[in-house]
Amino acid sequence: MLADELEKILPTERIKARLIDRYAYASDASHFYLIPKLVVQPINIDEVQRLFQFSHQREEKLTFRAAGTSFSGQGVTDGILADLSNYWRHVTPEQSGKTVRVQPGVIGAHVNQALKKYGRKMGPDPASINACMMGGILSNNSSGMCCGVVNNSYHTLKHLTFVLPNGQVYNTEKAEDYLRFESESNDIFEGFIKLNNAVRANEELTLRIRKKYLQKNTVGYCINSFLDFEHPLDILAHVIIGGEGTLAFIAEAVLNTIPDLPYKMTGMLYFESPETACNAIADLKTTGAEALEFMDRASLRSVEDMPGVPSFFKTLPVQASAILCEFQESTETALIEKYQNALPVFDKLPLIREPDFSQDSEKQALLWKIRKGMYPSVAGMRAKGTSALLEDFTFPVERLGDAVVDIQKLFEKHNYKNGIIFGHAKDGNLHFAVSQSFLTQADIDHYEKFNDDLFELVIDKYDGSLKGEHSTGRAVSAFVEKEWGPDAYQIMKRLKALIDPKNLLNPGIVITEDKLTHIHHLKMMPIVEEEVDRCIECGFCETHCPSRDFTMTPRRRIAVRRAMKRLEMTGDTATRDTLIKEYQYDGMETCAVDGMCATSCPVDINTGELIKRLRRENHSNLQNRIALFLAKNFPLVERTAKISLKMGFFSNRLFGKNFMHGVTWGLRKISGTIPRWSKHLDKPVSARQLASLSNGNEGSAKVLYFSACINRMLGGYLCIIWQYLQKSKN
Amino acid sequence: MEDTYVSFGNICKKAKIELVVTNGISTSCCGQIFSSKGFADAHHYTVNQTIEKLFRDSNNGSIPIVLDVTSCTQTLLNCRPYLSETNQQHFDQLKILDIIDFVADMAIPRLTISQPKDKVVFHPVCSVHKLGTMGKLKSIGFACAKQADIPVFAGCCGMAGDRGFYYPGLTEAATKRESNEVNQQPYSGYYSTSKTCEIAMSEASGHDYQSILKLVDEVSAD
Repeated sequence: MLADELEKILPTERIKARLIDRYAYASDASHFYLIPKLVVQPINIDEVQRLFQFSHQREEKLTFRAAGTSFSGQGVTDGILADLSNYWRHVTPEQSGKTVRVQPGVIGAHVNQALKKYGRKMGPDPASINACMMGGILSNNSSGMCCGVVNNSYHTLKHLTFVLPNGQVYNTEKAEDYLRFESESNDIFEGFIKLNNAVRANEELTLRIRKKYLQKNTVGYCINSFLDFEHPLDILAHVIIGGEGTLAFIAEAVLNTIPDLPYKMTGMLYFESPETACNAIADLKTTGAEALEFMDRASLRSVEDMPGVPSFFKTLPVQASAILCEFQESTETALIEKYQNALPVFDKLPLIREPDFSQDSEKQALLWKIRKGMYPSVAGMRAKGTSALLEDFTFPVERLGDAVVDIQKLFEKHNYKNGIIFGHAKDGNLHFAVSQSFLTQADIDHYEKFNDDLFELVIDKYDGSLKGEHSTGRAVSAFVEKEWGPDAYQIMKRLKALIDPKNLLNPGIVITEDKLTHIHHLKMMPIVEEEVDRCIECGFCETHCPSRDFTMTPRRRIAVRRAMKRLEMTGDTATRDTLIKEYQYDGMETCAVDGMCATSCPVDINTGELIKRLRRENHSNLQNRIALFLAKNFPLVERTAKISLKMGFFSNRLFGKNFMHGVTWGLRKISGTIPRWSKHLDKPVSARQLASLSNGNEGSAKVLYFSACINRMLGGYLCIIWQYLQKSKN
Repeated sequence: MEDTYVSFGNICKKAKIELVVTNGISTSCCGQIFSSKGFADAHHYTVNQTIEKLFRDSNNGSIPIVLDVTSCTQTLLNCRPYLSETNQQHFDQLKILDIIDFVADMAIPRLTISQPKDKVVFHPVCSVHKLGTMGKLKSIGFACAKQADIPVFAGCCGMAGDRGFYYPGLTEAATKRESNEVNQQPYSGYYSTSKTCEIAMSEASGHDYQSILKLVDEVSAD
């Protein structure tokens, strides 16, 4: 068994090989689905090196994943999946926040929180920043709304520590590593010199590379590093950025930060049509606006019922489009000046409403809520059994308007009813969202035709990019050569072969022989139940979940519910039954049903409510009757609880203050139903004690005191109920 | 350690707020203990009973009701769908205040804060997020201490009422990030607004988390 073999190199508790582990990790935020052989959680470089060695000796595929929030399918595998999300969380601002040292398991927003007191932030600002992690931000060369093409991961990277598939570790901070790279990984070193010469000698390719990166582009490897850097180790470090986990494991990075400009002026500009809106971008860029976010009519319609959205949204012209414009500055004076200078530019634009800009943070928040609510709105309203797909194209800015119209035509041609188009117009980067079913072959064929037409449009008509910021992944690996041309693709192919000759590190991503990767291993969305069907598996809930580092997360709880249904549909009831059994503890019992997951869910799912409902369905009639009996006799239950609590305190007085803690700890090993004693429990409070509080203050106010039962009798020992119920199960 | 209810009594006395306690309410429950475990009948029975008593003892809703555990307040405020028609009508007339609302809106304006603490830290429970009372919690901190921190990594402690007593691993894992952050510096007080969450955070951090009532009582003058 693979798991037994792995136990020689990793501790058992960090090898997750049960069925439920495999199914829980089969999903990420993309529309692809592969069930890993097992999941491992390495915690240091040493373990990563051993994993690489293991992968090579046994010819096992190995894929690293951080938050699993990518849309393109680079984070799923049917090999060994190494999950980094529970460890690798160090973040250290350095040089007064001018730089920041990060590990791959840190959430993007936590990096910015650490930098806040220095008035700095990191360059990349992906919309998923509250959930995605540095491993992905670096490996996908993430950007975002304001980041543009200058402050992405590639351009803000200062130093990188990484592990190559050959097991060697290099750190670009250390001068000796440059020498060591040449001597220890000489084949790669020499290979890079050859590749570098090949790139630089090819004038056409050089021009192509320069042109491609004037716009946002995450298709293929960052081969601009051959032009930007001299030493092979620096070139290598920069192709690992955007390398989608196919070239190395990123253990640590030092990033240059940018100022976090505190003064903002935000407003919305409305136009008659997408063409007039997009044609305004070039002029708007001259104003120095940090964000220029385009939204088409369908996008605006998708949020018109959201609280706070102005009523005129409903009566805008049929093709109306909007641009959210934001100016940012370090001082208020500079901000006002920037805005004043923009006014003459606005005057010349064919606006259909007066521009309405504001420094008020609540008004700004509403505008951003409108912009950010569009994709969730479409995703939340999609038909059951479909996936919400989010595309990510880049077009030449000057042809953006035509591109929008062309995409709208394709929606019509292929009968996509609720397609919306929005995006970072400043950088020619458009997202659009459609819902798509992968349940039948006819669905997949339909999607393939639409996809073919789209890609032809982006590449042949506009020479655009198929992925501006979401990475190649499984979604467009088969089209890298078509987009880049054969010369660039050959460089990328040779690069991958040089570093990972056995093609075991996240294979099939970026470089692939399979020309249909984009329609293979598609994630089928079975119809399960209300909460589950809405879920887009984005992973935004995970960071708020109290069981995230213990058993499961809301996304995984939902993913396994879907897996059970898929197994049922294919008639594999044996596997399904194992999942149901394992779900009892991981999914059900260790969910705190606190509902904090709902606070960050874009489609308003409270997984806690789902679990509560499943618990309800799990109870026998007898259990329900006992619970009702207890409820009806609550004062009696309370007295019993108080007595056992008092006995506990009494025992502690006799045998020492840690006595009960120790005893319950021991008893729990024998019977899991004995609750653990806490040193922080309070003595029970009687109704008489509470009644003594009543005062006859003739004050201006009067209140009725409801001391909650957990304050009265436990602080916590309502376990009596639990024990009855557990016993009644048997 | 002095109990929460004593602090509540002291605060009312100092603020000259008339306090009513009834035997019926002192044996009632918000029903969360049943609903979180999925016992629908028991939960529905409990909340209906409780709302009946609250309506009666609050003089048909004319006396505001103060709950001293935020998660219970949240449960009670959301119980309407499970009530009988009569109880729904009664529920609509009740004025249910969480301890945070009470302290921020009723108590502090009537108290003299004579000896604010130096530096305290709060653990905002999940219900604070759901009820949208983070601002009020901060205002309490502002009134009662020179500095009141809310940890960046403050999150659900995983106690979930009583679940943490049976699955201590859940609470340990859930509180690790926040307690590590809290232990980076010393505080002169550690406070929250739900007893079981206070227990979880005390276990994790090694410091004694108490109700904010305790804080308000300590810093206010007679």
